[in-house]
Amino acid sequence: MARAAPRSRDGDPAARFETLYRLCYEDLLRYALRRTGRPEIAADVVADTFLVAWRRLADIPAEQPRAWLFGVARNVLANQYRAERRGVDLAARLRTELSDATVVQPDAPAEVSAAFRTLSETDQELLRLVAWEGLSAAELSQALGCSANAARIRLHRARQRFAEALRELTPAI
Amino acid sequence: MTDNDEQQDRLVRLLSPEIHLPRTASQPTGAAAEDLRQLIMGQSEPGAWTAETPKRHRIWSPRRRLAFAIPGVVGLAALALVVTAVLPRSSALGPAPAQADALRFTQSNGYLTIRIVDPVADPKRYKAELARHGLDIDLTLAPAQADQIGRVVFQEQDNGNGPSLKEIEAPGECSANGNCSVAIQVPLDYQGYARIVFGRAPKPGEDIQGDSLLSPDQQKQLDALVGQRVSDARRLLAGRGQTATYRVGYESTEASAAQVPGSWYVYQVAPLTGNLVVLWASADGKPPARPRASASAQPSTGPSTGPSTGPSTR
Repeated sequence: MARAAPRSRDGDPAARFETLYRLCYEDLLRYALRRTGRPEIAADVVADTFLVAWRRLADIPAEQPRAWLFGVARNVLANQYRAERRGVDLAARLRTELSDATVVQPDAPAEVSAAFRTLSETDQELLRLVAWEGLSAAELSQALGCSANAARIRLHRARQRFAEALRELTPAI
Repeated sequence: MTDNDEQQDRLVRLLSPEIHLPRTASQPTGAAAEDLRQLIMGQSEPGAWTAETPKRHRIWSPRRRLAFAIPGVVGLAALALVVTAVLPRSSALGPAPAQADALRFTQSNGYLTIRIVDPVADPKRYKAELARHGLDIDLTLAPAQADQIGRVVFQEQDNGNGPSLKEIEAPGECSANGNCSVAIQVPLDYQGYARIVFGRAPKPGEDIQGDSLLSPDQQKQLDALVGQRVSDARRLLAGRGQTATYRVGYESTEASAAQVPGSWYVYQVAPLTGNLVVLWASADGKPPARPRASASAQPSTGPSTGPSTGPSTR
């Protein structure tokens, strides 16, 4: 796996960031909205994630940059709830724009919800990253910062635990 | 992916909240997104491009490890015991610390700044509060000599290829019972482990830790070990009733006496409490160079498990 992304064709880091930003902005925004349910927090998560990406542009792998961003976003989310507001409010305008955004909780079968809730937050996040964000096992390893093998094993175990919980709550599945 | 996996994914997707986004906010080329991008790119220069990944290693501050060096698993456990033993229990000061945060977290410009609010809190509380932010950092205070108060007296980091945290020193401003202005700044994507000890004013009758206990003559005796063969250093230390503990390799890992040949040379030395002396040794008497990554190496490119290593994500 490549460690550092090659320079964009014109060797311009700004151009590479811009490309990455446009490619992944909406995915990250939706990810943050789904996780937080709060547009004002989601705006900050997107801002902080891309700020990290800008500052660590050299560390973003050429392959799976989107998964790398999800990994950063997960970390940003972990700190978001207790963080105080920054001096420079990067996301002020986005927050305003998102004031009309809505996050509607799904009307999912109660048994499925219940089974999912029995899982650890780690397992839930693994399964969400795959099912909601469409990450492959390889991308999952990128997002989690672990080896592909470790990601596959963790995903496999999470799936086993989910299947077991489903069997207990929904014998027909 | 098996059929069962696909079925599971379909079920998990049923749980996904439905997002309704204004078009002005969802488009990456929309005004709000463009504004954000430009603000980000105006914050600082992008990180430097790097061609290779350094191997995961432990970074030592040479100056500081002489002041309070206890590397390695056993040494670190000893440090924890020492610090815990000398720091007063929070409960002795009343019930308030159990309710109040021992640390204050402030997020700004991609960093989490962590300040010590309660300098006499049990280090376990620091650890727990840091862990809630997904950080694997041991932060402690130890009684120190006047010129080390408010300064880092010991640090180690194991941050792989990721960014490093920074210490904010406040010389002279860390008392035993009151104000302590020291802080650390942790990148939001920090994924490593760190142990940081700041010096604080000692309480009456409290011992000062580290090499500040040494007299100038004792310091000279220690310094004289640098460049000696390990066998000679052992003999000299034994003559003074001191015991050597060893660190080897670029990662400064702890080694037993049996693992360090007497024919090696000492290139650095530091005192510990309990008549222990750390000897950094190598075959040629030079600090080991960073190992060169092999062509087949598969370095980790994980973005950040700093926050993600927290209890909620692993």
